[in-house]
Amino acid sequence: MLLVIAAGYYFFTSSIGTSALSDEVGAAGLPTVYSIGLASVALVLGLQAILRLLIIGSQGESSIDSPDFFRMFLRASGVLAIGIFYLLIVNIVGYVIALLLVLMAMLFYLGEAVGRQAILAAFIGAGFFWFLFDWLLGIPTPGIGSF
Amino acid sequence: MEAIFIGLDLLTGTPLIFVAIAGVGWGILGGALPGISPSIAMALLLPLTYGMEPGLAIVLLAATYVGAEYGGSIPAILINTPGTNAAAATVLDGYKLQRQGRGGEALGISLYSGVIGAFFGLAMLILLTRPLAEIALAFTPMAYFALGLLGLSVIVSLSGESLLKGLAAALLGLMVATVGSDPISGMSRFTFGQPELLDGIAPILIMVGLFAVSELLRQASVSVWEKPKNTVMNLKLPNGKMRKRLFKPQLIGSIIGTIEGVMPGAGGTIASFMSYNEARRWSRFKSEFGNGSPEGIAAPETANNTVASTALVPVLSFGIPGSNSAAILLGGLLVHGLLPGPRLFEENGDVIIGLYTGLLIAAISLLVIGMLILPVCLWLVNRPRAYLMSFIYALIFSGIYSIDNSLFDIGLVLGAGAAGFLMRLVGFPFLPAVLGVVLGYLVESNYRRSLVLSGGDHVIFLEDGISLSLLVVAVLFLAGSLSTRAWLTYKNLQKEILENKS
Repeated sequence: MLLVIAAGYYFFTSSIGTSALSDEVGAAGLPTVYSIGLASVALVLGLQAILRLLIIGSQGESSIDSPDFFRMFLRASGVLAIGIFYLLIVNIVGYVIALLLVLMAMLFYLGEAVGRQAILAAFIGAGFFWFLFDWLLGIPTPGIGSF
Repeated sequence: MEAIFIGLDLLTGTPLIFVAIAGVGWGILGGALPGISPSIAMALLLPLTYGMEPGLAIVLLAATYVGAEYGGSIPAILINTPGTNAAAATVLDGYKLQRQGRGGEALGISLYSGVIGAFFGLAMLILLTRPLAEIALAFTPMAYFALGLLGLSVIVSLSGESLLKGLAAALLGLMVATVGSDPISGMSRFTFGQPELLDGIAPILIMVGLFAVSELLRQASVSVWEKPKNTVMNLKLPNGKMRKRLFKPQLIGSIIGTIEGVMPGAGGTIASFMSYNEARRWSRFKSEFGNGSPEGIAAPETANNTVASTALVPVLSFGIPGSNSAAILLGGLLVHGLLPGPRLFEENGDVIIGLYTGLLIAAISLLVIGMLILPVCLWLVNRPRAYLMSFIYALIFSGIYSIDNSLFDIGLVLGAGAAGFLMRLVGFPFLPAVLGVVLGYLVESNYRRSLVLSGGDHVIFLEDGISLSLLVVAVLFLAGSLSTRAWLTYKNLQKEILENKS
């Protein structure tokens, strides 16, 4: 994974152009060093894992190998999906309604029973954040249809 | 003596005391909200100061800065979200203590240390402005580069079990810091046509993603919530024994905070991380660091609150703003016709004394306001899991959006959160990555500026006195930390092999 990141970063580094205003090191200078550094560390980590396997005989239990990993990953993905949902709708329905929907979605997703208490909490939360950020701090939050 | 009388007169004859308290209260609120940085909290007040007397306006802005630097520690401890960049080092042990049900104790330590830092910083500002200002002027690009390397040397201590993983995380952080316009030529790098990336990725976005969002994802990924046992709901200020234990880390934080504060551009974040590292190095309870150490909270909190005062040295002495917050304070001075420099102290002595008096009130009110609001914060974070997590998520969206009114930033935070969640699963430490993001620009821009000055000759880093000293210290730190780590790794490996054979 680290090697892939290092390779990708190096690829984009090599596409950085040169400028007449540039110095000797250049805009791509340190990024190149970082990508080579990361690739080297990734290789050493890989070698270390192999050596460990040879010397000790087992790799130890990795979190990724555990049977719960995918279940954990899926549950966490749900929270991320709610965040992406917010980004998709906030410019359409506006800040307050989008936040209200996110609060309700999170509450229900995390196991809160669908009922008056949770819905009321979501309304209070959305109203509170609107009051704090929009009204009190004067942040221009997205309005309805502001895309 | 005359200055004391002027100060007393200001205290009794003007609304200075109320202005200072209001500034601290507003600052704490701003600092505690992720995304509302100290500079944003100050900028929001700037229009209000136009109609105020110059002295009061400056006190309001400076008190807000003091409050905001402290406020950042509250969400850092309670919800694993640093409210400000400088509070990132507080997350490590603060949140661990909160998870152990000792959030009240952690908040008490951060409040007490913050107040100590604010008093120490003020004392340094009053007593040592002139000599400290000379240090600030002596800093060249070479010295800043060396300072950045010294900051990066902390990675060895922050890497947890695997130095290589820490190194990889730091490199990832440094890579993120290269996104945006090149510091010398202005060419865009890794922006993929997105104008939002031209200014780079703000460290706070990465911090909130890595710490807060990844923690939310982790909490959501487990079916049973690890609720802390025996939770102490009350704010607990340190007792005599604890105060004695905290003395050393606070002293370390104060000294580092003083030195870092006067260097334009260094800021509270480097001071916090370096103080954390040094407090750990000199502690008798090293193993507690990273697992809920009181000293791990005291050192960075003292440092960043000291910086809040000493950062005023270059602003008042030369008009050099070392940070966004200092730039806004400078704007406040200029709006009222106050020109920074040595003549400011001679021609507007009453304003300077008013500022010092206001900062004194701010330091005292930090304690009072903290004691009033922290129990409420503690109550809030002990609400049922679903409510707490939902509200934190909504707070993150609102706070991050308010930095630049950008939904793109929220997307970046979610991306950093997903990356942080994966890093948690494979055991990669966060703090080296954060350090890389924070120091990346400082290191690269000053490295290249130095080489421009020398025509590409690296010897310039050894010719500059401060640079050479800092580089030597960095090498010594690295050598010491690496040798200790190598010895511990060797012993652990030996033990593991023996256990495997048996």
